[in-house]
Amino acid sequence: MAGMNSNSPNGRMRSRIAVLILLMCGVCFSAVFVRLFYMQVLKYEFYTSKARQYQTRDTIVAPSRGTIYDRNMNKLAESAATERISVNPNDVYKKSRELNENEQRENVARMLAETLGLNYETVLQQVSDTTKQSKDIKSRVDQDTCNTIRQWMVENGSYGINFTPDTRRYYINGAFAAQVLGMTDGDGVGSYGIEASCNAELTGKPGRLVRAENARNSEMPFDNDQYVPAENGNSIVLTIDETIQSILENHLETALADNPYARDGVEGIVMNPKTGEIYAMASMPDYDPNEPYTLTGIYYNEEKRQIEELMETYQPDVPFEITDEYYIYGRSAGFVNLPNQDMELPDRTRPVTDNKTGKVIGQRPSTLIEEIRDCRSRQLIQMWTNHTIASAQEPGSTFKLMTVSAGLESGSIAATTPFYCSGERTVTGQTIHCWRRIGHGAEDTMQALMNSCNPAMIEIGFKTGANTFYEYMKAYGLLEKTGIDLPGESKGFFYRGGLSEFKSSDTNLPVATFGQRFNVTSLQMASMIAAVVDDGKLKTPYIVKEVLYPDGSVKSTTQTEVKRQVISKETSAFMREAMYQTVYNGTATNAYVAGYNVGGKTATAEIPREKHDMEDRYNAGITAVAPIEDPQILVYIVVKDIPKSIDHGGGKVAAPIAARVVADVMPYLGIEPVYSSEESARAEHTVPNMVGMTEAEAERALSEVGMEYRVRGKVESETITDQIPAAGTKLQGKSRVILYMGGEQSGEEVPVPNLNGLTPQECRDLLQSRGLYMKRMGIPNKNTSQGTRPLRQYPESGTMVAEGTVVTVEFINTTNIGD
Amino acid sequence: MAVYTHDEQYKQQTYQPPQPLSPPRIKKGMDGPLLFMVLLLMATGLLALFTASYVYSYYNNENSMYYFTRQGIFALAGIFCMLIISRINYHIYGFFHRYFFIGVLVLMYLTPFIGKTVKGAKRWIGFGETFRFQPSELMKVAVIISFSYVASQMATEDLRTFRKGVMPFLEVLAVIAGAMVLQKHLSGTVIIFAIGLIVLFVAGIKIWYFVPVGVTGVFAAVAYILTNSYAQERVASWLDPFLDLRDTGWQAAMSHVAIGSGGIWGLGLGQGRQKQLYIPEPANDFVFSAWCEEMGLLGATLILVMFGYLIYRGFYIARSSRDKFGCLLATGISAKLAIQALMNLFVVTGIFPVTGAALPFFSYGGTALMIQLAEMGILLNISRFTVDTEQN
Repeated sequence: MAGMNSNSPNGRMRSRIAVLILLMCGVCFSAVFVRLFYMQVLKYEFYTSKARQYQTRDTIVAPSRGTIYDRNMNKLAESAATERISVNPNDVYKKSRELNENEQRENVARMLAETLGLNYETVLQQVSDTTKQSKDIKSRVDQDTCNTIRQWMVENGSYGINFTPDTRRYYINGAFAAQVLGMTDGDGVGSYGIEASCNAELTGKPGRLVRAENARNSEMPFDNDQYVPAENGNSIVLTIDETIQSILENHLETALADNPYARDGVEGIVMNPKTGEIYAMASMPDYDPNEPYTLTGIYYNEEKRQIEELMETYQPDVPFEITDEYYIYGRSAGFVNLPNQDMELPDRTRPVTDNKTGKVIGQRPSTLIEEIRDCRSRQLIQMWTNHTIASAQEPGSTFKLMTVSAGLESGSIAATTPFYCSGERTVTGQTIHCWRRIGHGAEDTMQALMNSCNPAMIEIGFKTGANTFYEYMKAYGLLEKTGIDLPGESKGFFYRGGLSEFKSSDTNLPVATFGQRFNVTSLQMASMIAAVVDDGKLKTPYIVKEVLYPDGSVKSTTQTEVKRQVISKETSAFMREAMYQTVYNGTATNAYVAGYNVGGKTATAEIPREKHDMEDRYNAGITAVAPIEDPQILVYIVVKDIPKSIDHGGGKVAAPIAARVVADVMPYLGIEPVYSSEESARAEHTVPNMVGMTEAEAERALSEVGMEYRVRGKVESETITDQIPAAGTKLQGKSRVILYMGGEQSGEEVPVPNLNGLTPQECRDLLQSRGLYMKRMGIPNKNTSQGTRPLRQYPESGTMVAEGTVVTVEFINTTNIGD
Repeated sequence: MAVYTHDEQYKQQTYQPPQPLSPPRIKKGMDGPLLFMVLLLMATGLLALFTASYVYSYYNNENSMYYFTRQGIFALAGIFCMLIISRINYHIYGFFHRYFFIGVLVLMYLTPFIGKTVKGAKRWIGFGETFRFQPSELMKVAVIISFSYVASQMATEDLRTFRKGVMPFLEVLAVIAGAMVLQKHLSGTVIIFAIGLIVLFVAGIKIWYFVPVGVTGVFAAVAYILTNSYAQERVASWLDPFLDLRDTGWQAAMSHVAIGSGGIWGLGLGQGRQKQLYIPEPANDFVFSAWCEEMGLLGATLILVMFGYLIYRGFYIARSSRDKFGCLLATGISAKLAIQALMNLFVVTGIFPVTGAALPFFSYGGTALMIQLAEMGILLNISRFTVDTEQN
């Protein structure tokens, strides 16, 4: 009985099963229900937003940045479609099961480093940072590279590398109009030049793509996608002319090479004086906006000097080594040996900013390495800066155009007002010298300008008076920004206290008359001179000609804005004549270009020395306008910061540069040279093809172009069998060609002789003796003096050339061109 | 007691202990509600598996029907087995439980040497690529049968002593645990222990033994967590899976997002988004999450009710079974179903930290499903021998 009872479930068992039922079916399942209720009802919003966060990809669709064109629609800067590459470190290994985590990461990092030219260790670190959902690897990767990576991913069954659209900026001509075009920063935002000032136009509007995607970034089949297409940026058409810009840049580069001691480089502007359009604008050395962090030229020198000075100050006896790897590229690898680089410099501080508010909350000592890096940053900024609008300096004698025109316009002087220059002028006990110490003697207004005579200018200044003088400076826009559509323009610097401070010292006005003790930018000067030569109309210079919609239709066109009439047409006409005479008979004679009437004015401005300088420093400047009777171009050039001990005069250093620019630009603009009777020797004639002609026919053909001939070798044929030079060669003036009647030229080459130090006639004779022709440039023949010497020749001496080659020789006057 | 119940009278008249293999006398048919619930859950499970897995399987098996098809075949085979087993007198298991148990135990100890590694753990024994099973799954059945049989054969007085009623079982469990440790299978060990102890609990052992064990266990766990930074991370990740979206944190977060974003009504069958590769292994442990997203609180509650009712029905059969063996066997099978289902539900809803736990009838796994349905077959067979407890 007991056994039988023991075999059927007893009461305890049943009640314990009841406990289990209660516990499991009741309590536990209810717990799950409560939990579900909490999640699905009470926290529904939270999880829904999380779901949206995980399931949708909100992609910013980058708009394509607009193109920058020159005035003839040549592309200067354009954006190519690129992509930004990032990795999701969690996906890199998660989704690939064949390799273990580390192998997979190393694999991906190696491939990325190799394909993108990055450091393997850095990439591996980024790929391994699984605390992040996304790590940016490289932006602006071109599509070919991206496709290579995609291909690799498919072949290797790899995941976790993501691509998002991005745009890269290409500056088609490299270091070309660099400071004008500017550049974009890492985020594609314009940071200098046109890129910055027209950033809003160029940028366009980013689009958005909200997509529901599965965890492997394939689209999910649900209809909640939103696509707002990107609006591409507008394009900018500049007033810059690619050809004129390259002419200017070429000649500025030559000037920079010719003046290696010009510490602040050279700068130049070519503009249309009638409209205010900028045709070309450059300062040298420039940089390649495709590689904006490569520091070169004077900026490199200055960086190096500053760093060495810094080291000398703080660690005078400690040897150190920094290589070009840092100086040029800014890479830390360049710090080969830099002891105590974290040393705090007690007398150099930098602000401490609050991380949250960004406000300055205090100062702390700088460390050595920070100061070293600052040296580089300063020079980079210098290199990127468009100095023609951002750097102001003393204008020097080109400013006399303002002094004279203001004097005439205000009626203080007349064209016939007599002046007398004794070589100096004493103002309240201070003696101010003329550049020509022996003086210019008696002169009228125009002669005063032609001579660039300081005492005459001082006299004009006194006659005009400080108030009127100041009013004219203001009217010419020299006390305000020109308003050009470029960023970072300086308005120059004129006595902090304005007119009252200007008047407070008796010497301020006299020195101001020849452009000293105040600073203006090159563009302010160019803009003023444009007003002087263009009937007194001051225009706002501009560089953006048109804004185009992405489809190419015109959004807006910039119109010439005449700010005000500063001087009368008559005064302007007088000034033009004076400028022409200054070139033709005065101090700017080296700006002469045969065949064109060039007007100009030179400047040799004494500038403040730096504290480590041993001698005075000068800026050599020139402005040239051509053709002066109907100004089409205005060239303004400054060679900056030259020591006194070498050539530093505007007439000698700067004027030939302007002449070269004018000589190249005018024919490009379709303005053919017109030679006056005085210039007939400079007129170029084309050698006709005479092979096959009889001697008589050849003589006739040559006489039409004013050439002579002689027959070389034996006369074995009735007709001409060869000629030197070849048909089509352009020869200046009355030249003699060589004809063969039977037989041909030997084809031997001759070396170009060195013409240094010879007079024009000696040059011509020497070349002729070698069977070469001379093309003479610079200095009107009638102005040829004892001091007329070749400045440069091309081909250079020693070059082997064929007989009959034309050697271009550029002459300058080395005397009587002071200032 | 003067009044015998109908039941006791019946047993006194019919049951002869020396002859357990007496021909089956079917007093009534199989338990209809149980069979119905099993079939209903199986159908629901297949539907849930299909909708949860087709994207995953499309990407990983290039066939969106992969899991569904295979699971469907196993389900049909399993139901067939279940119906056959439901006709085999369960008393038969008592006779060879010893051999079955030892056989499975040997397999378990061999697994670390001859087993297959899947997802980093060597828990599987397989023949070829297609057929493989976990001996530990079989061990759960073996424990249920052996414990039930041995406990049912033991005199109540013995069962209530520590030496005879608890020690031998603990020793056996320790041996099993040894094999589980070799396979690094913590959750499996816990389930086996729980099943074994529940069988013993219902068999009638004294339960106060477990008070110090439980208290010690809690203290040990707390001490472990406080001293182990990895454990602390796991706990932190369990409490807020969004803190660290790696591994288990990601799994939990994706599961919670799926459940939570389902709301009351769900996104609609087939409309789930988290199953689009966000939920890891939507065919296995996280089927329920995907189901919650698509069917909402309503659909989830439906499944809870079905499981709850099925388990209740299992315990009901245990209560009303004619002999102790049947009672304990039914208890073990029901408890196992309850523990596995609840463990999975607790994990996917975040009540428990993430650990491998499949949902019976829902999660993909052929052999596990076959075993589950076989157990249901046994339960159905036991139900044939029940007495009407309503009159008890």
